[in-house]
Parts: sequence; C-alpha cells; structure tokens
Amino acid sequence: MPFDYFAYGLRIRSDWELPEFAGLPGAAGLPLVRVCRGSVGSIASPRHEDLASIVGDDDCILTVPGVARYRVRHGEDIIVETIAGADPARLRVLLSGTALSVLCLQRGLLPLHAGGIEAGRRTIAFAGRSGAGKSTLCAHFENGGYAILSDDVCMIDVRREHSVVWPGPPRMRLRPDAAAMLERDLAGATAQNDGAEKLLFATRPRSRLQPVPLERIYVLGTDAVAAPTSPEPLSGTKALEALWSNTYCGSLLGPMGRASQHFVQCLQLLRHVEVFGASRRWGWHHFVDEAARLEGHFGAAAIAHRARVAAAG
Amino acid sequence: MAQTDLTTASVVAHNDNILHADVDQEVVALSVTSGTCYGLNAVGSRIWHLMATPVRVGDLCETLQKEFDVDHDTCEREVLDLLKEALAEGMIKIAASAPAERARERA
Repeated sequence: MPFDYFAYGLRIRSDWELPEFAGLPGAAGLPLVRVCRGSVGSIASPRHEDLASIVGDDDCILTVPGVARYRVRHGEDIIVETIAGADPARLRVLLSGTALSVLCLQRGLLPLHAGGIEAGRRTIAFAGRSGAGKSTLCAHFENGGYAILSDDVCMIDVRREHSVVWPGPPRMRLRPDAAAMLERDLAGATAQNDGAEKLLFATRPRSRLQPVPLERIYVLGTDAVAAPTSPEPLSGTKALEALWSNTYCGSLLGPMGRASQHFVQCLQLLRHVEVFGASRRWGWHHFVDEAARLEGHFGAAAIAHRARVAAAG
Repeated sequence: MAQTDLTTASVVAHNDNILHADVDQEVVALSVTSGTCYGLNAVGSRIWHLMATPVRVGDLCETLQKEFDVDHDTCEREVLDLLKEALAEGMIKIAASAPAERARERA
C-alpha cells in the first residue's frame, strides 16, 4: 500500500514509509509525485556527466557515495537505488533535500537554500550556506511563537502574482549544542548519521498546506562581526548573486538547461521580495541579542505591511 | 587571443555563458559558471546591446560617438578599457568574424 505525504505543494506518493514527511495535512488538486525504490538504470545520451550527476532531458541521476542513487524524471518521479549499508535516515534526508530540489527545479520552482518562518502571514526566509545558522534561527523563532514553513530549503513559486513559499516537511535538523541551547526535548529527536551529527526534530504542526507569500530574505553571513550590525539591503546585482549562489542544487542549473529560466525567475522574485545581508556577532552568548535584532527588523516590516493592507482595504 | 591584443580591429561579442536582462533600462548580466553578477550603467548597457551580434570595436566606437558627446580618442580609449575588463571577467569573447568585417573583406 502506498504512503501519501504532502510537502512543497506536491502530493508525494511513496512505496515505502517516509516518516520525516508525515504530518502536513493534505489538499486536493496537488500534482502527484511518485517515489519508489528500484534500479535507476541509465540515461541515454546524457548532456552532462560527472561523478555526482548524470543529466539528460528533464532526467537526472544523482549519486551520493555510500548512500544511494536517485533518478529524478520529468518533475514527476524519483527512483531510489539504495547502496548496501546506507543509513535509512540519511537516505531520506537526501531525498527530501537534494532529490526533491532537483524535481522542483524540473517543475519550474526555485529551491532556495534557506529556512523559512511565517510572520504576519508572510514568509521570512533565512538563506545561507551550511553552518550559517539557518535552522538554529528558525528553531529560536519557533520557540518565540512563529511557525516554521520549511527547514533548509524553501521551495519558491515565482509564477504567481507574488512569489510564495510552499510548506516543507514538518521536520528540522539541529546540532546537539543548538538543540540544548534552545531547550529542545532531546528525547523526541532522531539522530542523523549524516556527518554533521544533527538531530531531527518535529516542527509545530500546521493546520493548512497553503503557500505563504515571500516578504523578504535575509542572507546570513558566516563571518563574525565585532559590533552589533543592522541588516543591510542588497542592491539588485548583489541580491541576484545571493539568490543564484544560494539556489539549492544550483550547480545543476547549467547542465539541466535551466539557467536562463532560473535567471528570469530570480529577477521576477526580486520585483516583490527584499533581500538583506545579515552579519551577526558569533557565539551563543550573542545569539539571543542577534536574533532579537533580526526579529525587530522583520517585525517592523510586518507591522508596516499590515498598515499598508489596512490602508488599502 | 590575449586580452592585451584587443584593438579597434577586434570583433567582440557576448560570451555564451552570460545571461543578461534589462532591468530599469540597464543591463544586469550574470555568469552561469562563476555566479558573478554585473550591473552595467547606461553607457555600458548600450555597449552591451551593440554586442548582441559580433561587432568590430571600431564600428562600435563610431556608433557611440554619434550617440554620446565624446571625442574619437577618448571614446576608443574608454571603450577598449571597458572591453578589456569585460574580456578578463569572461563576459565577452573575441569573435572570429562579423558581418561588418566580412562586408569589408568583400569590398
């Protein structure tokens, strides 16, 4: 019997259980994506081939040594060929992140390496490379009452009047020291044998699957600053660079033949979405103050937005 | 050809790995390979548009002199400086031939 899950605006039908995806409510009319186990086979006449990926027309085989090979086709199918001895949790993390990001690229979505929270019915996204503190910030803001939309990757649909973020799987990965600092219940976590030794936590349940308009993106710097610093708006070219460099699986855009489309999507997104560079003082003893500074920044914007809506209405 | 070989006789064109778009009447370009983004001012944008098809640098300068208040020597010097920079960044390439050059050869 297949298992049905809902994430990223998709109905994901899997032939085996994917507990990390469970928990989001369903919705009618969502596109169906099938996930099954089997041999990935081969791609005839690939347009690109290296150790990590083989790319054909709307068809891609991703290889993660020691874990699995994933074949992602036509934005509709993912075949998973497990490598003997692979950690099942690691395999599912890569399915949720890498394989589904490639599938969403094939579907014309923009997967941003970012965590997203919902603030005043708007998405605030925190982008940045691994280790920038995206998940820790999202978990902190969840402790403060915000809802987490997605951890680590925000699937953005720019084809609507206003770019929106679809809720991701209701799970997040935290380092043990971050989880302890945030006073998370470690008993409820699942260990992830993923090299980063992160723990997997459930996020607070959502009652709706609807996408949430994207208001702004903070690009988290990894270089510590000495003094408190306000987020700085990024100019058009810097904002475009930030979107491009933080696109999940962005290195595959060229081989997939989707670079031009993605470039246009980034420009479309920048018409409505503000992008800020956010440098922070590093270290746990600064964390709460730095998070409060960010919250003050996007909180003021949320208040201004509500005022604009009230004035227009 | 090295970038220092760029002269007014060179034929230049956009590099294939550069994506570009007009934003607020100015060109924004992005290198697919490096992820570097470039914003061009009004003159740079006009030069970029003139390179949509391969063009001889001398012809490009002639066009700019008609459109902007600039003397011949200044125009050539500044255009060559800009194009050398663009060549070094991988935004443009030296094309093998161009319609204007072929026309000249036929004449």
